[in-house]
Amino acid sequence: MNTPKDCSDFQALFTEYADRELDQEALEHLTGHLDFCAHCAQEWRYFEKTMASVRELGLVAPPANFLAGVHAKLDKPGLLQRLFDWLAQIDLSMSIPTATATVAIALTAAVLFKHLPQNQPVSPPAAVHEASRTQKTVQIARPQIPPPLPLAQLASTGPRNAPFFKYPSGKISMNGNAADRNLFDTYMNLHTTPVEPLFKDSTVQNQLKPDMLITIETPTPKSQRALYNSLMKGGNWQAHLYDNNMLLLFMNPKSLPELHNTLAQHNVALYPPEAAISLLNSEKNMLTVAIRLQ
Amino acid sequence: MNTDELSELVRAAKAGEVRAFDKLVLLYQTKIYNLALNYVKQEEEAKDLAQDIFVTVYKSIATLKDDSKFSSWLFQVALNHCRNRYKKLQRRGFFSSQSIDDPDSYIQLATEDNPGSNAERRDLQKIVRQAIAAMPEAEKEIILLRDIQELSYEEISTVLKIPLGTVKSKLNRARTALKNNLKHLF
Repeated sequence: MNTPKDCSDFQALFTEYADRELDQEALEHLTGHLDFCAHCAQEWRYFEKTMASVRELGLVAPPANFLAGVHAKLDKPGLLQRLFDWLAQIDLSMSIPTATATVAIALTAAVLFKHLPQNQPVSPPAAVHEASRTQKTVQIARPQIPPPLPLAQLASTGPRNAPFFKYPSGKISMNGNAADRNLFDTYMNLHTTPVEPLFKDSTVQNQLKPDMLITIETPTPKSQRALYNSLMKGGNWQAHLYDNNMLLLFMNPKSLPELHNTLAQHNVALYPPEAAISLLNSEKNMLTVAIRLQ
Repeated sequence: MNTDELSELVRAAKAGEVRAFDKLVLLYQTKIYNLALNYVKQEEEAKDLAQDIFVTVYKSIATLKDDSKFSSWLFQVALNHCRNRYKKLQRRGFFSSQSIDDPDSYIQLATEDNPGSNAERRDLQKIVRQAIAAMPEAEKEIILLRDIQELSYEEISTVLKIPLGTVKSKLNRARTALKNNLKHLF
């Protein structure tokens, strides 16, 4: 045994002393020290009383039906057994032709469901991926941009994976020619009736001529406000509030990926991607993007 | 019950004798239930946990090699269950919604379960339980095993998988910490 040298060494022996585990030599050392060291003697008294209090705590009796509860748990069938029992209840007897027809129908339904348009993953343009990876850099890898589709639908709306919005009949091109503008006007009127025409003043209507219209249906007023605040505050564009539901953004085409990212943060993806990025290589210095929130 | 009688009981339980298993449950249910109570701090949860421990014992008793080491093995199983359940309940925020003064909290339960004690004594016991409950897990565990469950140093060494010398030093540190917390009462 290492000979205790100071009070802390002696106090380290208290547990073995309390449990009667000390050998004779150590016992004599400790008791001899306690006889003349008042501090250690006092600490030992506290130690003894603490141990006595702990031992007095006793044990709480378990509930009377404890053992029965253990058996109830042991008798409860396992997961696998419950599954077998459930399957056994189902009447699986059927003729071979019926079984074959059932399997064929199930497989066909699965294939059709997989290939439904709304189940196709909507991947944002490669430019957006690049932009998000490079965070705030403007340098992006130019994607393979398809030529603007002559009858491209307007850039999309709504949360990702939401059913594609059904626009009124007639499609709008992004080219901005006169015939298309008329259709655009028609669209705007159709879209806003019966509430009120969006553009009250035809002069304004003619003046605005947005390059892109994005209609976003937000699920709650709160999400609408959040998106509105993001668009008004952030981004490399000038934002103007046209009315309670319409924002106009004036931006360089190079800022389109940033707009994509901002919308993505609010769970909005532009669809179809071709129409959404078709303006990326626009020769214009300034695009007008109208964003309608509803 | 002496060691030989216990070993015989364990042997019979391993052989599938339900009555032998029942006897083992009755022998250890109070200790295991109290160990569970000190971890989950609530009566219903402790009952459920303790019963789960015995279900595991029933299903895996055949793996016990040395029948004379049943007690240490039982406490190892129990401690693993208690620690896992504690972590699970902690993740669910179970303890943040509890108060020591709740009527079904284990401290209230344990205090009321001592009708022979006078009020002053019951108050002291409540304070001591609260002090133990507030200790760090490692210190609390060793105090529970030694001073409440009355396991020997060797059993504690087996259950906690630490050397005997470490058991003594850890126990002394835990008891000293508890003494320092409570000495103002004496």
